[in-house]
Formats: sequence, structure tokens, C-alpha cells
Amino acid sequence: MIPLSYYLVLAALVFCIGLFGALVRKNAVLVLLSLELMLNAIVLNLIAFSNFATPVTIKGQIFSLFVMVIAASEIGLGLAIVLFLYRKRATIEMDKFTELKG
Amino acid sequence: MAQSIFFVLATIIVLASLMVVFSDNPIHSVLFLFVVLFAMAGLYVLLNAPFLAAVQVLIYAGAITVLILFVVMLTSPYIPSVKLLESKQSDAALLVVVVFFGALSQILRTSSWFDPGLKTAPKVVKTAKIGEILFKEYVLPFELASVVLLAALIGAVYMVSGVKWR
Repeated sequence: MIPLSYYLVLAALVFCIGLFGALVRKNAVLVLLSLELMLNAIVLNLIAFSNFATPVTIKGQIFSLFVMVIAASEIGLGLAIVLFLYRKRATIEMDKFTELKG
Repeated sequence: MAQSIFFVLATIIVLASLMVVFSDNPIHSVLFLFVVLFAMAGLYVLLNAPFLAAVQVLIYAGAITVLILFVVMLTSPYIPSVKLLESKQSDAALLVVVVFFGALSQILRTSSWFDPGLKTAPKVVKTAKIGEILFKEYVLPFELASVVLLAALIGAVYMVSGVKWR
């Protein structure tokens, strides 16, 4: 049987890779992709905890369903914003959008 | 047996998610994300959550990846000269990520979750049970989630359609 800690370490690794991507990539779509990686790491954590901590009430699985709903709406809205920006500015490089710079 | 499946899937996930972040071609990134999501579904099966594995394959790997693929094709022409590590923040980002991972592993090591005596419930969760819990205890969050999804849908359509309000 695989111990819980393996899943947690794997999820932490994937989350950190996604965090790095979200911080480094310039392409807005790829930042959204990295966000998806991070969300998936979180869902993996939730399901692992659900399996080990609440195997009867499966709270983690229910919660991860909600996380998936939010992730779907987030990616839909995010991609709509990206398309909107592309239509306005003909670029989706993150460091070109500096209007709000102080 | 389960252990070796886990290690194969974990290796696939880590390598493919590295490729998502480090690949120069956005199309390749999206396809590697597909690989990550699919392998994650395999892990969910290992964790006795077959329904969530199916949801993952259908919604994430099936729908969201295709959606992202369309947007990549609509927006970003492949420019091979744009290297990702030319970003000015990459050193700082690497520092942040390493510190974050260090903190996470420290928390993990000092927690009780590393206790190998923690045993999993050897029972596969039935989909009917998920539905029962979802529609008995969690009706209100469920309805709220559907409203959120509808609002996001309308917002996305409005933003992309280019129609001016009034």
C-alpha cells in the first residue's frame, strides 16, 4: 500500500513546478496552464486526504468536485480575457500590459 | 504492484509537468498538460476515487485541454526565438519556488502525515454514494457552484462577443 506521504510529496512537487511556470512564463495562456497544474496538485492532495483521513464521509472527494467546477469557470473566464486582450492589443505577453503600473 | 504503478505515474507526471513549463512551443505545453491530467486520473483510481478519475478525463483532459488548445491556436503564433528563461524574473522565481518547496517539505516532515502506519480504507467509493452526499448534505454549495458556472459562462461569452452594453 502506498503511504499518504508519497502523494503529498508528489503534489508539492507538481504545485512548485506550476508555481514556477506561473511566475516565469510570459505567454498569458501558459500562465493559465501553470495555474491548472497547481489546481490539479491541490485536487490530488484533497483526494489523498479523503482516502486516508475521511474514507467514510469522503469529504475530500466532494470538495475536489467543487474545486473542479471553480477551475473550469476560472479557465473559461481566463481564456475569454486572453482573447479579449489579444483582440485589443494583438499580443498576449504578460509584460506588455503595464497600464496599471504605479 | 500498486507501488510500481504509482512510481510510473509519478515519474510521468513530474516529467510532463516540467515539459509543460519548459517547452518553447505552446502547443507542446498543452499536449503535455494533457499527459499530466491523464496520469493524475490514474492516481485517482489508485486512491479509490474512480468517479473523480472519470470526471478528470472527461472534463479536464477532454474539454479544458481542447479549449486551451483552441485559444493557443487563435492567439500565439509559434516564435522559436522567444526563450522562456529570458524573463527577467526567472532567478527570483526560482528562489521563491525553492524556498516554498523547502517550507512545504519541512511542514510535511514535522507533521504526523509521514507516519507509515496510516492505512488507507481498502474500499472503492461508489458513485451513488457521492451523489447521495452531494444532494443531501451539500445541496446549497452544489446549486451555488452551478450559479457560479453560469455566471462565468455568460461573462466569457460577453467578453469575447465584443458587444457593447448599451
